[in-house]
Amino acid sequence: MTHVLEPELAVRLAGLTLRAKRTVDGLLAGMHRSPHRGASAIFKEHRAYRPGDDPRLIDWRAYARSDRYTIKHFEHETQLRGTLALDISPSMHWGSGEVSKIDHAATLLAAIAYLLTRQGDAVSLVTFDEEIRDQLPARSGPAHLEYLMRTLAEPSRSTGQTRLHVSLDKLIEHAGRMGLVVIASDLLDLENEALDPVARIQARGHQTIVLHVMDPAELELPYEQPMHFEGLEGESPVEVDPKGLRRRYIEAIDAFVESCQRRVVAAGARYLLVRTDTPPEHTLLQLLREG
Amino acid sequence: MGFGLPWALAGLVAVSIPILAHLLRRQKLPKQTLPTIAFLHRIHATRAARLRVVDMLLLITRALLIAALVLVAASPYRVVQSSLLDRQHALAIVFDDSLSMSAVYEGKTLIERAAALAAEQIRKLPEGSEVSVVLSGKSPRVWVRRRSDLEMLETVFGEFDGRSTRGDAMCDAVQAAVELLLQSELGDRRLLVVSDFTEGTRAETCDWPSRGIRVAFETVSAPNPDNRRIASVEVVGERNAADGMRLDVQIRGTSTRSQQTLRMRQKGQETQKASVRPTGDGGEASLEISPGATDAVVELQLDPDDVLPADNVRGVLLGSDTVHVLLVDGDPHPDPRKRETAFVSHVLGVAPRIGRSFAVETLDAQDLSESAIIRSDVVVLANATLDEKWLPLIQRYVGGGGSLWITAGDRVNPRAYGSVLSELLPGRYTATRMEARPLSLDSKTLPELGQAKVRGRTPIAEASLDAVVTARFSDGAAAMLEHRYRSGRVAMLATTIDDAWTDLPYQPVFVPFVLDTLLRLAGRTEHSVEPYAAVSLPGSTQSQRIQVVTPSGRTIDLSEADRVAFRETGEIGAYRVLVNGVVGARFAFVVDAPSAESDLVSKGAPDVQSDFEPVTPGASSGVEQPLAPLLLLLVIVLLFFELWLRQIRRR
Repeated sequence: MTHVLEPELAVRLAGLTLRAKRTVDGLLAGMHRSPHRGASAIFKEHRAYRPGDDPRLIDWRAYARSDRYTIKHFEHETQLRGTLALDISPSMHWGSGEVSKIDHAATLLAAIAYLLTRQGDAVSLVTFDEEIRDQLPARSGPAHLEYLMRTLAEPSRSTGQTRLHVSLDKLIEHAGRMGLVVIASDLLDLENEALDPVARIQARGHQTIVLHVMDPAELELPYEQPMHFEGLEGESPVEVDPKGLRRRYIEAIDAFVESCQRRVVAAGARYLLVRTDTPPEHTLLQLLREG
Repeated sequence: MGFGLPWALAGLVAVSIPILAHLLRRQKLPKQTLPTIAFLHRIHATRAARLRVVDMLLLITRALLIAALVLVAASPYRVVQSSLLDRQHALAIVFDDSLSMSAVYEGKTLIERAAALAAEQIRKLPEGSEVSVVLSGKSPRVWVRRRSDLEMLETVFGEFDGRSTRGDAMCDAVQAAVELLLQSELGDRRLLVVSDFTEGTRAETCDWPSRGIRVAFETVSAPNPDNRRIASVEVVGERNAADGMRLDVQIRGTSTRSQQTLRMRQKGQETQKASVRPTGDGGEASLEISPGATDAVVELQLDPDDVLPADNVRGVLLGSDTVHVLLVDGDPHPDPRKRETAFVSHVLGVAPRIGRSFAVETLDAQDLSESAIIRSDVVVLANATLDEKWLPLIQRYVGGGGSLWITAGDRVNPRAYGSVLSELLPGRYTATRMEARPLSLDSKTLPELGQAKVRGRTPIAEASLDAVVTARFSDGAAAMLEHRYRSGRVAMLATTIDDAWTDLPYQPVFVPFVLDTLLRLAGRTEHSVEPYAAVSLPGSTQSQRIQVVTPSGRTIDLSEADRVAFRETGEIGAYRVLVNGVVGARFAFVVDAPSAESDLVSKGAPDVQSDFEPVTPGASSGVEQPLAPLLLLLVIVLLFFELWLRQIRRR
């Protein structure tokens, strides 16, 4: 995996800080705000006591002044648990140029892993097609990062089709609660329920980022001569003149991309269309700026 | 449907080009993997069925395009039924009424069958059409000239004489028919030729119209044309010879008859018959004619008749080799040896020794008569003073085919000859003169004439344009001059024919000089003529009645005229000419069946592009209509359709 994380890319991204938008629960303190209320140096707010709240959190001073039970909230900096999910279905192994979609996606995930590790966050990795193939637990440290990158470089061989709703549902179990989930996939599962798991991931308190990795040839169908087109996941071949149906193809792809984006955003997750002809750092910068 | 250039259809193989290209293109499409192929399927699914149809239509269109181009090159045409062409047209029928069309087949002559065909053709014509009929028997005749009364024409063909003795003049008839068609104002012009197309027709040599007139042929022929004819008759012996004459007859052609007889008739009565001995190519027979036969002609008939009876008859002239010479002596003398004509008479007396027969009659100039002249082949006016009363007699005689030899002498009056016979003579006599030094003669045909010396002469001047100088004096002046006048010949000699002015009669060359001159002048017009040919005969006068007796015995009086072109020669056989009721041998003639007409084997219509189908009884009519313009239109439509399909495919 010589190209998963270029040294130059690693240097350029060294100063950047990945801030999770939402706090995650974790055992390790860090730069991230913890969603857990409790003992901390930074006061956040008061709120009314509800049955089930920890009685130790009741602000007795406030009770003395207002004769009401009030809970005192503090913000904690906590360790982020990042879950990286890489689609390794056959379609991801395709590329019109030198770089395949999976190479590009792996580069991005490696960069994110690198950043998280530098911050002392724990990072786990899952590869999937129609089911979970590789599964690395959430750890931090250089040794784990190396192991993770090696896995990114050489994921298990895929034998099946992309079945997002199956594999992402299993990802929920792997990701635990309240973490960062980054899914890199071409999303070429055209079933209606394919992206439903994204909402369920969100519901578990995760901040979910969906990197929709597409090759420019997939988006633009730049072929000029009639061709014998073959699929990568068992689709039947077709002979067509691309010039004749390019306009309608682009309309269909645009609709697909728009549909994916709409469904991901509707689930409360972030969506980012990643073209493999775009430098990975651009994607990362966009990801961090819009943090 | 047919094709003008059927070999061009081989180009239909090219139809496989788009099919092969289609198959090869399918095989050679580059392969390309595409993860998003599902979207292509999704789009293509709605388009695939349409594309399949478009592709198939494109393939079919291109194949049709090539096929249509190949068909255009093959010049296709279709036969359109007459109901589709019910428009008026000008039709000229060249109808063969030659002798060969008189062949009888199943009780009907070919002419009658052809007439039924022609009537059927006319019956099918649209109202308002124009019909001309040209008969191609020799000589060709315009029988119907651009008539639109079709019912009348049908009737006329129904009454057509089914027999003919004519030769064939197809090419002239075609020319006449084309001229009639070109006179028509109707745009659709057609020429239909109805004939047996035998050897005698010679249709392949005709100048057939190639543009503006459609041509069609209808062949009418006998399926078993076995036919014999009397091919030749050789007369052996002289008519007045003591041992009589013999006719050796050659028969040609095939016959299924095992035995045939040759019969001879004289004056309508059968006088002899002989069996025909078979030979390799026909047969032969001999007939004896006893001495003293009074008739100048006999008729032969082959019995029994075959499919073409007309060529089984033949007339034979007897003694036609004898030249009748009338010597008119302008300087008579009691001593026959001193007469002007003495030397010529002597020469004619020795002529039989060289195989020529002359019948000589000598008259003094004052005894000259019309009957004596008419009986003769050559009249020699020897040193005769011209009397004006001879003029009409001599004119009629020469115009009717007689010959005149005028020799000079002291009794010749040049002025009278010049004024009275100027039109008749090949030159004009000038004043007689005696030469101080004898002149010699010069002739290319008789060089020996140069041995003769001439002391006196009546020079000839102002020769007519057609005059031929057969001998000259040593000073270059004409000594002997000849030319034709109508059917006869006239010669002038500038010196005497006796020894008065020249020693020529004493020269050995005198004999051939006289005989050659007389035989040349006696070269009569043909005694054997084709049917319906005009024969020039002297007309009747107040004192002389001329009649012609045809082979069938019909007697025809000739009108009063200097000469008559006798045209009633349609019968095959011998024609006798009566002068005041007496048979004159000089004018007898025979009409022979045209030999080419006896070959009844049809060669078929000439190899000429036939443009329309004539109507045949019981069949519907039609014409060949070229389809190339329609196909070209189809090609253009297919081209546009192909372009449109390609646009559809690209969308």
